Amino acid sequence: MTGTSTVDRAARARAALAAAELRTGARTVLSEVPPLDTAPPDDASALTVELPRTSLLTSERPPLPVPPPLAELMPDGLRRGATTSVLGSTSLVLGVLAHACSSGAWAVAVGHPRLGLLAAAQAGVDLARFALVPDPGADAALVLAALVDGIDVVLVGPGAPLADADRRRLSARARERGAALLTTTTWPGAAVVLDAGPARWSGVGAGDGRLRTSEVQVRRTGRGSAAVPTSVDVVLPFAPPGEHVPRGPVRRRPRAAGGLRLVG
Amino acid sequence: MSTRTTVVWVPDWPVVAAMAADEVPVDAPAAVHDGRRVTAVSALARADGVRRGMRRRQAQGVCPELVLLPADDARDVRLFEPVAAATETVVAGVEVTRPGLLLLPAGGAARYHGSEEALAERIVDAVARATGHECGVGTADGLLAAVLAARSGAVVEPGVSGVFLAPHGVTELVHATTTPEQAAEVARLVDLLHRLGLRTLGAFAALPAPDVHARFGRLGTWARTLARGLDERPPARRRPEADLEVSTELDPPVDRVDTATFAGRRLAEQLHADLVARSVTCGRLQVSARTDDGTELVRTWRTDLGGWGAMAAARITDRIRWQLDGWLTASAVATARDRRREAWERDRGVGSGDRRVDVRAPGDEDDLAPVALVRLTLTALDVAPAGAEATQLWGGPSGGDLRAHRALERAQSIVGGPGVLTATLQGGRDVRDQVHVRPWGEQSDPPRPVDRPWPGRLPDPAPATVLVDPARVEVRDVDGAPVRIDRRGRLSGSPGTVRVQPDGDDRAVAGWAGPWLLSDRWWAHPGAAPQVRGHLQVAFDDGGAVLLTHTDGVWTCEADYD
Repeated sequence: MTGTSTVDRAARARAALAAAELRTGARTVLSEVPPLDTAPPDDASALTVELPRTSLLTSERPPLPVPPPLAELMPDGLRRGATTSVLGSTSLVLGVLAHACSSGAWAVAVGHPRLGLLAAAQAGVDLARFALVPDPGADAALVLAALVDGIDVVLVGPGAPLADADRRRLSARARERGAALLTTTTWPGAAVVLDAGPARWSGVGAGDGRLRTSEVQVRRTGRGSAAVPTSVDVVLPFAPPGEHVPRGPVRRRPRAAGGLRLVG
Repeated sequence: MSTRTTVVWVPDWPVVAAMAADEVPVDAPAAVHDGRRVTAVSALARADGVRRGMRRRQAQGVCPELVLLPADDARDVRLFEPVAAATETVVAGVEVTRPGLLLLPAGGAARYHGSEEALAERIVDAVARATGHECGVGTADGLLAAVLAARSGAVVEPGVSGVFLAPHGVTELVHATTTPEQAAEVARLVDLLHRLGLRTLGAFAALPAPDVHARFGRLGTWARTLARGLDERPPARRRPEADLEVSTELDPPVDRVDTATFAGRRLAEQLHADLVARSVTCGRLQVSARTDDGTELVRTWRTDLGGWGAMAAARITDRIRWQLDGWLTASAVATARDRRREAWERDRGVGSGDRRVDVRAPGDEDDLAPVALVRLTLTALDVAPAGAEATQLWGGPSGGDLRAHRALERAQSIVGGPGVLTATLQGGRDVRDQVHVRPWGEQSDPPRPVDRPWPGRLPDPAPATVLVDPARVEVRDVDGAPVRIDRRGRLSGSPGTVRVQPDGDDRAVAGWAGPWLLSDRWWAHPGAAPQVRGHLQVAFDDGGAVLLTHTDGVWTCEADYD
């Protein structure tokens, strides 16, 4: 083996490692993605150039989808790196969670010992990509910090004892790591706050029927572009993501221009 | 082409395995039945007239003291493994044809041990010593002749297998099959041969090969090859890839977690070094310990979910520490005997989301002395060459999945093994029954399938909040009298108000539905009177709704639709 071939092999190993890290998202994202896959392996000179690295910027990541009835309140979707509070209704939280995870994102619920897992599954949460830490105990901040590092949607419930300083640190960490933080307790500095009013369940009579749907008024407050309070009436539970929901009673079929028409 | 083959055959293996598993005394006549027919019969039962294919009643009719055991293929395979291992102490490579039958090329082994008779003697000896089962060993040219020779413990001289086989009936071809499907096909062929008047293997072997192929196809050619004492292929010997095991004796007995973890750390490093030295990886990791009163504590962890570094020594140590934590604080004694009860407890207690996953058997709290461990063992199961395991074809662990696994592992190292849970849906009727909760890393298949009808299941949608501890409530009708559900499942009056005890506000009922009555699994608690649980959905005039449960005159609030 000559010296050049050793250098060459080291460079190729580094290239393979960089490609693997890039593919798995394990390390920081290179701000300018070099065409590593297409580069010939012996092209060592291109790889020795130090590439500028940035942390995972939230703007590089597309926002997570939200349930269609909430699109009016959250036109940007559920932003990664932002903190969203959903107060007052567990069904609403599960609906938001299910739609956020519909494209393969992972979710974890921390400090939610009373979360109805069956309801979560019916709302459309994929339980294979969902974990629970029902009682994080005194180490809640530590646990949440670890989870925010690797999981896309982190749901924080009342069972996680956190000080306000912990909450600020967590929000900052979520912003840095690009995780969507969902909380069901009041959270200082939440970008969007969805506040569900009292539910009105319908479907039961006097010993007949069953609980079917509930109507809830959801108010949105928040910061920045969400600062203007608006509200919308929604029907819970939401349809699971991916299920086709008709827009309304009248469905208009788009008419092809220039088609056949009855004349004369 | 034929290979000198030695066959090791344990007669009536399904019965032998079932008797060993269920500890049936050997002097009791036993048979294995699959729910419809008897599939295997022990020698004693056969002497009493029990035959394969009998119905249960018929078999019990000819032999009233017959012990009927359930069929279980996995058990047969599992229990046959020690027999194969015992044989491997005598010869280097064996092929397990099916549970109960294994074969090996006789040539080298017979030369090494002196003669084919000496080889047979050693194998019988080794199997009897290691497992206690009697086996027959036979040697001949070709598989079928060797199988038949094994039944009489004979050695057929080289070159005369065809002559040895000729007088045997074509029915014997079934013994050379490996799977039940193949056995059924061969049985059809044998039936056809009988109807054609070909009753012995000799007569069948005498037919010209092209004619056999033209008339009977591929299966016929296979049968003729075997009938002539030849083989399609030599035995495919397996290379024993033994489970790696490291263990240590703890003397004096250890009853502190930190001390035991130190021992565990040493074991973990040793196991890791072993794995690296053999360049293998493992799919599961079994931690087992023996307590000073002789109880074996066993827990198996999956390691293929771990993301990066799942098999690193530090990670293995973590696993051991969580395990020891559970054992030494005497909160989770999962002995083999209690495991069934644990499974039942788990089924009842899931969905509550709390730490009831590590249940202890009721009544064990007081009489359970602190355990001390005398032996700690780590076993790497499902050992495979590193880099050989295949990822899933579609959507294998991507970067996101691996990152999530790693994050969950880290969270688990902070809050402990049972602190991070994962859930799957399972069949069931009430809100908690339908969720199967396991600690992260211990995922297992849910015990009850979802795709059954489950009549009496609570209607959708499910409540979004399930209380950890159901709260007692008082339900009164419009006149203020307590509401009950009588024996016939009728409400004594229509609910008017619900009050959370002891001093809550009355909530006026706007509508209600139900009751859905459940009297499931009464057989699971013998001695107790069967209880009927009634579920009631109640909507209040303030818009909220709850799920109430009535058991034995007491109402509890089980869940909240919020």
